[in-house]
Amino acid sequence: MYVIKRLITMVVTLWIIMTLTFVIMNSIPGDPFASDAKSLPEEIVKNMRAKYNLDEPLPVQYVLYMKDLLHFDFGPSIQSKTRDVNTLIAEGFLPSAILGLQAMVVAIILGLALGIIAALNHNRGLDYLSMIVAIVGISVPSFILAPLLIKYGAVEAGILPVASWGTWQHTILPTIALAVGPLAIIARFVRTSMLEVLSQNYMKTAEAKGLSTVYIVCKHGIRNAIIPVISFIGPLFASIITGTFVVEKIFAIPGIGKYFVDSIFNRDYPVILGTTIFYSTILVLTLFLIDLCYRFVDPRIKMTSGSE
Amino acid sequence: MRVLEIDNLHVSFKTRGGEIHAVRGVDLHVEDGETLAIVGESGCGKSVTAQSIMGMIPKPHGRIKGGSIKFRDHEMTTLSSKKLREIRGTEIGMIFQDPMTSLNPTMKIGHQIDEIFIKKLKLSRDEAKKKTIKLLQEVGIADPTTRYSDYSHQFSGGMRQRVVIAIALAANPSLLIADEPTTALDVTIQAQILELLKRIQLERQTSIVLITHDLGVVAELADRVSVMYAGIVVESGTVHDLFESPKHPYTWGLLKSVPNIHSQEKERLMAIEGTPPDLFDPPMGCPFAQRCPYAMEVCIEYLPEKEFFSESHSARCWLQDKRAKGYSEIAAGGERHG
Repeated sequence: MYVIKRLITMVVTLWIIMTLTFVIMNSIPGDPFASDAKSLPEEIVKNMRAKYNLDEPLPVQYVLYMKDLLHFDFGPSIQSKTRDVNTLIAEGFLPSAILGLQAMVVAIILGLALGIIAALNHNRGLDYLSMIVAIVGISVPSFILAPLLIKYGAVEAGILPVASWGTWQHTILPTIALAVGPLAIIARFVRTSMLEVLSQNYMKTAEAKGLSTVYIVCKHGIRNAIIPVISFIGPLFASIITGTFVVEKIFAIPGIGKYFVDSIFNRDYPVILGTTIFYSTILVLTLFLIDLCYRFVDPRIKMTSGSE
Repeated sequence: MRVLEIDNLHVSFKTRGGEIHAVRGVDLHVEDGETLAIVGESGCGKSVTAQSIMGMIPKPHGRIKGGSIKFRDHEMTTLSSKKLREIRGTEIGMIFQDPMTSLNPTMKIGHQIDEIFIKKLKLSRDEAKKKTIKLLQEVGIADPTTRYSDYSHQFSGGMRQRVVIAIALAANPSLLIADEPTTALDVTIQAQILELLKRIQLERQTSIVLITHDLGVVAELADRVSVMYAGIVVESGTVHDLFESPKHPYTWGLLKSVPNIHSQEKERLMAIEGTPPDLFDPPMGCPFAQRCPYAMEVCIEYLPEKEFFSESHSARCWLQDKRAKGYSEIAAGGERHG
C-alpha cells in the first residue's frame, strides 16, 4: 500500500517537473535555429521547424510531447542528426553512472572513516586534521582539483592515463575528482552526528558492559550516527551518477553531464526535457529507495501511508 | 568480606571556569550481599562516586585525584583500562537512571544482552541466545522468545528498565551499581522494579550500591546508608540508625522534607533553605554550615572529623563533638519537637 501510494506520487511529481520545465524552457528567448538563422534560407528553417513540430502552438506541442513521453520516447535531438535523445542518454549514462557509483562508494567509506576519527578525537589534533581535510575538500572546486590530479597522477607519475574513456585505469582520476566534494560533506555530517551519538546514554550502557571502544563504536555507534546522514546521501547520489559537466569535460569522458549544459545553450528542446526528466526520475527514485532504506536502518520508522 | 572499599576518594573535573571538586574525600564500604544506599541531592557527587567505581569518569576532563577504590582484590584507581574493561560488565554491573535512553534504539533487545555472553564470556551464539531468553524471563519479561527480537521502542519504561537490569545481571556480577534506578519511572512501576531488585539480591546474593535521592527507596531496599553533601559523606549508618537517630542537621533536614502519610494532623512539609555550596571553590569548613540552622563559628572554619556513635553509625558534625555537648542537646531537642 505504501509503495503504491509512493509510486503514484512519484509519477505526479515527475509530471509537474516536466510541465514546469516545458513552460520555463519555452519562455527563454531564442530557438534551436537562431544561431544558424542568418546562413539558412527561410524556406529551410521553416521546413525544419515543421519537422520538430515547432510551428505548432505551444499547447499542441505540449500534448504531442506528452504523447511521445507516454511511450518513453524523448523524441529526436535537434543538434545531433544521427541519434535521438533516448540513445544520447542511454550511451552517456553508462560512463557517468560508473564514475558516479565509484565516487559515491569512495566518498561514503572514506567520509565515514574521517568523520568517525574526528568525532572520537573531539577537539584534539586528529579532529582538527580531518576537518581541515574536509574543508579543503569542500572548498577546492573540481576544475582546479581535476587538472592537479592529471598533472601529478598522470603526467608526472606516468602510471595513470591522462584522460579519455576505456579501461578501469581511466576511471581512477575522475573518480577521485568526483569523490572529494561529497567525501568532505559526508565527513562533516558524520562527525557531528557521531559526536551526538557518543554522548548518548546507550553508549554508556555499552561501555558499562566492558566492551572495547572499537566494538562499541562499530556496533552501537555507526548505525545510529548514520541515520541523519542517509537523508542527504540520496540527492548527492542522484546528482553524481547523472554526470557532472566539469569533470567529464576535463577528463574527456563520454558521459551525459555535458548535455545538461549544452542543450540549454543550443535550445535543443527535446534534450533539455529529456535530461531534466531523466535526472528527476533518478532523484525521485533515489529518494524513494532512501526512505525504504530507513526502514532497515532505523527500526522506529514504520512504513505507513500517513492516513492509516 | 568486603566487596568494595572506598577510602578518601577525590575526583575533580576541569572546566573552562576552573576545577570542580565533585568528590572530596569519600569513605564508604559495601559488605558481601548487602545494599548500601548513597543519598543526597543533585550535584552532591553521588553519581560521580559511582562512575569512579566503574572507572567511567568522563575523560579527559574528569580525574581521580586521590584516595583508593578497592574492589575485591583490585585497586581500581591504578588498574589499566584493559583490566578495568575486563571487570566492567562481568564483575560489576551497572543500572542507569533513564531507561528511555539507556538502550540502543537500533539494536534488538536480545542482542544488547547476548553481546555480553558472546564478547565477554565467549559463549556461542546459540548458548548466548538461550541464556538471554532465560534472563529476560527472570527479570519478568513475558514471552521472552518473541521479545528477544524486539527493539526498545516496543517496550514500556518499566519493561525497558527490566531489560537494563538484565544487561547488568548478565554476567552474574558480585556488585551491582544502581544509579537512580527508579527515578524516571511511575510510582507503581517503581515498586515493581524495587521488588525485582530485592528478589535478585535474595537469589543471587549480589551486593548493591544504590544511588538515590528518594528516602522511600532507601527504606525499602537498603541495609546501610551514606548521606552525601557537597562531595563528602556527612553521615553514615544502618537504615535503622539513620531513620531513628539521625545525627547530622542535613539528615534531619532530609527526613523532614519527606511527607508523612501516617500523620493525622496537617503538617507543613519542610524544605532545607538555601542551595549547596559552589564546588569550584568549596568551603574550608563544613559545607552545610551556610544552610545549617545550628551552625557555630567553628563550622565555617574547620571541617569536622568523623565521629562514631556505634560501630556502624558515624557523622561529621561539630554538634557531635564533646566540646559542643550542651549546644548539641539543645539543637537535637529543638529538632525533635520543632
